[in-house]
Amino acid sequence: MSLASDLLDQAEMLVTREPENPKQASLRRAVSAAYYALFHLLAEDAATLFAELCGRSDMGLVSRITRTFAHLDMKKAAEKFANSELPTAFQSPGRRYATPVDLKLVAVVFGLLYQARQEADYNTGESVIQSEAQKMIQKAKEAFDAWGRVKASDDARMYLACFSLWDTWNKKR
Amino acid sequence: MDEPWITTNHSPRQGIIASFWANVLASSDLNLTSSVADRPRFTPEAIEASLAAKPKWLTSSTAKGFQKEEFEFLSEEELNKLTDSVKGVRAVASEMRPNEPATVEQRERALPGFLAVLEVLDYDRYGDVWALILGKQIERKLAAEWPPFLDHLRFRTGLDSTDDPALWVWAFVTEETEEYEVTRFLERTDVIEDVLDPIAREIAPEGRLYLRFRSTLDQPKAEGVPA
Repeated sequence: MSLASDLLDQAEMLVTREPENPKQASLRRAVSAAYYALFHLLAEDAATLFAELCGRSDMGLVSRITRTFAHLDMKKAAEKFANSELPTAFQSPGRRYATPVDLKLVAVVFGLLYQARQEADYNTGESVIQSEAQKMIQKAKEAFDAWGRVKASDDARMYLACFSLWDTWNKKR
Repeated sequence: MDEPWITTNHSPRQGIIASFWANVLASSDLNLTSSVADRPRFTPEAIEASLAAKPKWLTSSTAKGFQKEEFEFLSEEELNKLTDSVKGVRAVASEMRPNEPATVEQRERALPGFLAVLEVLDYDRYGDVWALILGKQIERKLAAEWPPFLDHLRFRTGLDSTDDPALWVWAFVTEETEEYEVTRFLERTDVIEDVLDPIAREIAPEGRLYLRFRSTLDQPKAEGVPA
């Protein structure tokens, strides 16, 4: 099992840990784990992509590259792909890009979970409810499934590369 | 009003709505300390009981600042109800003597109108003025295809964790039994999401949308309006 899958399992375990009166701590950590599950799923694939471009596939390099990804940059890339936007370097005049359905789902869910995780971790002024957390975990699972279907596509590889390269590729030509 | 939303339909005079919203809220004395998603429903009976314990709720400022043309985001039915109710409350307030509290008789006459105003503004479902403006429009659009098992919606606006304008929508999913069943809940959320998501994005395209789903079993019980 990968770290990403384990985190998703952990989210499910935490959300039902106290069936009768779930503790806020458990529910908040469940939402957070769901976000980190998707984060690691994508970050590891992005790091593998960059390592392969260097002609290497050893896990040491992959994990070092993984550490370079910033949450905010990944969120920005997610928002752009969710809105069918490409960096300027890849835009074709007169042609509107449409993010493939599965990739769009992944991008949308990443944005939702990013915000949900921020609130779960820091906004104690609003409760996290068990049913609400279960919906978040369902979304994370849908994103996992969608990613499995789309990850080999060029669009998905471009999306992964944008975690690091969006600003560079988006400069005015 | 310092909410971040800028909508072309309402930006020039949103302050008028905010002023009216604040005046009604000040008179109602509703307890809004919890987040809108966590608020118990304010029943008319509980509000009435709360106002009865606060004889000075009716003042010359109660329902002040209402301008019908600024509330055209409401349905015709709600707009008429609000307009008539405000008119009634204002008529009574205008009879009050300067520097004297309203009489019992005046309060009794103004109460039905004031309760109707509160029913339209629904402070337990709309967390702020922009939430009211956007939420009412979303609900109007949704009315024609109101998804089964959608009990009610709650709204708030604000800045999200990256300081972008955002709209949060909580959909409360109906449960017919006292027993929560996750598969059934998630199936129902999928049906609701398919209808609600595009409508919310159409009404509020400028900001981020965060849809949340809760079971009605998780809804705080109506517990009146603690002072």
